[in-house]
Amino acid sequence: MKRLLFAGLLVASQVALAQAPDSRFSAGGYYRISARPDFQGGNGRLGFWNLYGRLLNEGTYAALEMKLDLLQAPPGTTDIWASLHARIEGGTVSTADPLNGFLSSFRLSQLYARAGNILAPNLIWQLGTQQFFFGDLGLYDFRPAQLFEDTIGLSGRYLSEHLDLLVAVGDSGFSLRGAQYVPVLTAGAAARVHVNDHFEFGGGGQLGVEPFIAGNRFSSYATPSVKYEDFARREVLRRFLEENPGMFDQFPQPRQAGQLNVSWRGVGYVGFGGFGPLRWNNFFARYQRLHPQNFYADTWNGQTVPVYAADLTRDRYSLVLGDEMQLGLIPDRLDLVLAGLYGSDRDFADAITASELNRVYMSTVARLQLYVTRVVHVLLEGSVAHERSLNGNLFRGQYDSIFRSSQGLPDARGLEFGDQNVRNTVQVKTGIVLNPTGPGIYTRPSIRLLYGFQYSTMHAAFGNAFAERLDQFNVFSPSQTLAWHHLISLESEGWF
Amino acid sequence: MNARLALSVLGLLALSCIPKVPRQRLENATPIVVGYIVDPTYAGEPSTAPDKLKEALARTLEERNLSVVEVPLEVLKGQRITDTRRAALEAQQPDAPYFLLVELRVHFFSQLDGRYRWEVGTALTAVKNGGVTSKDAFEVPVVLVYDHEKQRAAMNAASQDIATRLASLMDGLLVSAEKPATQGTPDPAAPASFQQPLMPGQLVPTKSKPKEAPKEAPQDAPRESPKEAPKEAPPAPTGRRATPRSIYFVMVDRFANGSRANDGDADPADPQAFHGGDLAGLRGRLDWLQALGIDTVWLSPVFRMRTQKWHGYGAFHGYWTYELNEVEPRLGTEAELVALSDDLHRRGMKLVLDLVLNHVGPEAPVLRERPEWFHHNGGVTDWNDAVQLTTHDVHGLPDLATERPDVARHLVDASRRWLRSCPA
Repeated sequence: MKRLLFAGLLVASQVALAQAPDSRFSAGGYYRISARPDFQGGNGRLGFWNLYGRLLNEGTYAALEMKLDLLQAPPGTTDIWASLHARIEGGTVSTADPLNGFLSSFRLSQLYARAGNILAPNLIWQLGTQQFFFGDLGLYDFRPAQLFEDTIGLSGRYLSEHLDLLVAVGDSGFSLRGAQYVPVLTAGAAARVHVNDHFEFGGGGQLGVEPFIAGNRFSSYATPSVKYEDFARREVLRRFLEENPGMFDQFPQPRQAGQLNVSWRGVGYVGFGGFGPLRWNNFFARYQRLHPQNFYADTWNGQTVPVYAADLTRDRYSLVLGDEMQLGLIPDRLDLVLAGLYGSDRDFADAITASELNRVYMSTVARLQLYVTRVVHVLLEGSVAHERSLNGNLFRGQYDSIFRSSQGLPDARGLEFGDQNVRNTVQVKTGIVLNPTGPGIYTRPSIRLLYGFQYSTMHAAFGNAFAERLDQFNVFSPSQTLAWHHLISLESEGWF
Repeated sequence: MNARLALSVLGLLALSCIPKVPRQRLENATPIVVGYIVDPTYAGEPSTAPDKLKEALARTLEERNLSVVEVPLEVLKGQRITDTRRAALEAQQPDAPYFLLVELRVHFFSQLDGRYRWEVGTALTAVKNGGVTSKDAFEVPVVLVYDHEKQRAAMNAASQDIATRLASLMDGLLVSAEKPATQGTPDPAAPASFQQPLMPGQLVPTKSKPKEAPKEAPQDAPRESPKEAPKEAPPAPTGRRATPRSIYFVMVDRFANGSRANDGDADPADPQAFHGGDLAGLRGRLDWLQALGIDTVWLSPVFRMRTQKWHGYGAFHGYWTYELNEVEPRLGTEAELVALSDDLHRRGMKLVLDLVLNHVGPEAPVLRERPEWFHHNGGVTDWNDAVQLTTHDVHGLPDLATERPDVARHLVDASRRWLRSCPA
């Protein structure tokens, strides 16, 4: 009887097969490629990073994701289905950047299997790499409300009309430690509530715990009696030998760290739109505690010791707030996307190093796109950004400013760089955009001819080959401060 | 190596020489019965396609002089495979000259570099009645910006691609079908019942050309019955909707003046002025219309309208609507309109009301009261630009932003109100 029932179910499944095609194998991806000759000595990017907007600040990139349906389910059923996904991506293309397209620059960034309707209908299991985000700050190419991109494991996701619920568990050890792998057990959840077509919100978080494994030299040990400043200057062994001449063998042995290594992240999201000129507004928030570091190799006078730093690096936090709204100012003629980003990074154990771990930054970017015709558009984008180092000077304002200093005085041991703790940056970009598929600021593919300029309070604030050390300065003898950077770009970008 | 290269070049040249099917266009407007069905991705019920996709496909078909007659989803819903769906479609209108079945299914592919990639699986099955069948099945990749955009947004984003594939499919079908009809004569492929306009409600024609009104102006027509009575008596009411056979378009202001009380400044000597025709006058001429063999009366718009001339042009036609929910006092009252509907139904005749939904009349009060309801894009300057045609003013008439939910609701509510008060 059971066999008969099974056969009947099989027959029913055959009859119910979907008529619209559903390919077993499909592939999609993303690319951006550009030709940007830089006559000011830069590397083809207008500024240092995406705080000034992704446009002209990003380089070549390509990604290819493939999906193979292992088991397809007929429509209108809760039959089990399964698929396999793999994504390869990297930031180089032959002739377009210094890496010249070598495949060694690409990585298999995603590999996972998905299966649906096992144990419960509308429940999707994912085994392998994990990645979840609430949305994107498109102008920045930045996803603050993102979870599990560092985790390999298992997730279950329940999808309904009004609720999207994800629970995941796995290991972040390889992502956080690479070759110095230790397991970092990671678990978390995220939920998105779709109230109606005009409003939705969500939130989530993840927690990573690194258990101590005695005897594993990559585990959470701590080298005792290390002063923070010696650690910051990478001079722990030097100071020890200065205080204990000839006693290299007596360098302190690492002991189990005082606390478990724990990191966590919380994210929030509010989205609304679909009324008046507002198409949609995304607001994202993220607050996270970074995972403590493991060890580094400290070398002095030809001798090397590992310095375990877990207890010195467990108070590092990062806050990011971002918002982006898309507005249709004149229907089918003029669109505007407005975005803002605020970030605060703190390493509470470090009060002496000028670094990106102790800083505040904020910026706003606005992009207008005028649709001259369906295909030919004019783009205008502007951005204003402010970055402030909280532990002294991090930026060189003049071409001949000292390379390492402290409050204006030469500092032979150097924890600061440059002569100012603030960098203000303005960028303006404009040009012609050809969108074969019609209007839309985010319509792709795009072929763009752009001109952009940057003004920065920092000398030569773009990736370049200018002097960064005193010996280089003496050889090449630069003679002027570069506050402006101009760039012309012929580029293309698209998802496919 | 050189030989291979030469062969490749020759091959490419040969491919480029393969004749492509040019765009086909039938001589006369011909109905095509269309069914849309979207299969659920997994669990759930089938649904119909979103309006934007339907509009894109309808435009493609209209470019080929095919007028869409959409069948309700319920006709296809019970069927699970193409063959049975096609049979259900054909069973709805066995005499129809053309059929088109549009089957869709949407899959989520992956989050991809900040975007959401979907795939819209589409199967198009076009049938020439008694002739060839043409099929096309393909998938359209769609990249959406926001997570809340799901299957329907994906189908909307794919609409242009699907329309392009449909165009190719239909051109292939039409060129292989029978020779198109000659100018001025009905398409021989269209059976007799399709020579007549279709019944609203039963099937939904996207666009159809009204039949020409009799040359005799009603106000000049003799009051007595025409000398030659129609050979067939008007159909008796059966309680079941039948296909209308003869529609008479009534320009209400010009048809018959039944009440002098609402004439106002009517001036029959001025071709641009109101002439005094009204609903009361029309009710007095129903015997004449019925004797003429008319079974459906189509009224020019009778809703509150602009009554003054605009740039010298008269407003009597009623297409400069001010308020859809009120009857224009110069033409009569709501009670008279309802009475007309009742009179017609008692005679087994039907009533078609003409509601203007694209625009409002010049300087309509609603322009001040709800300026956000309008596109404000200026006039159409390029009549080949589909975007302009839907978002710009036609000859200066304020264009309603029908994509706004509140505008659409207003228009639908008004339409339903009159369907309730004056059913067909």
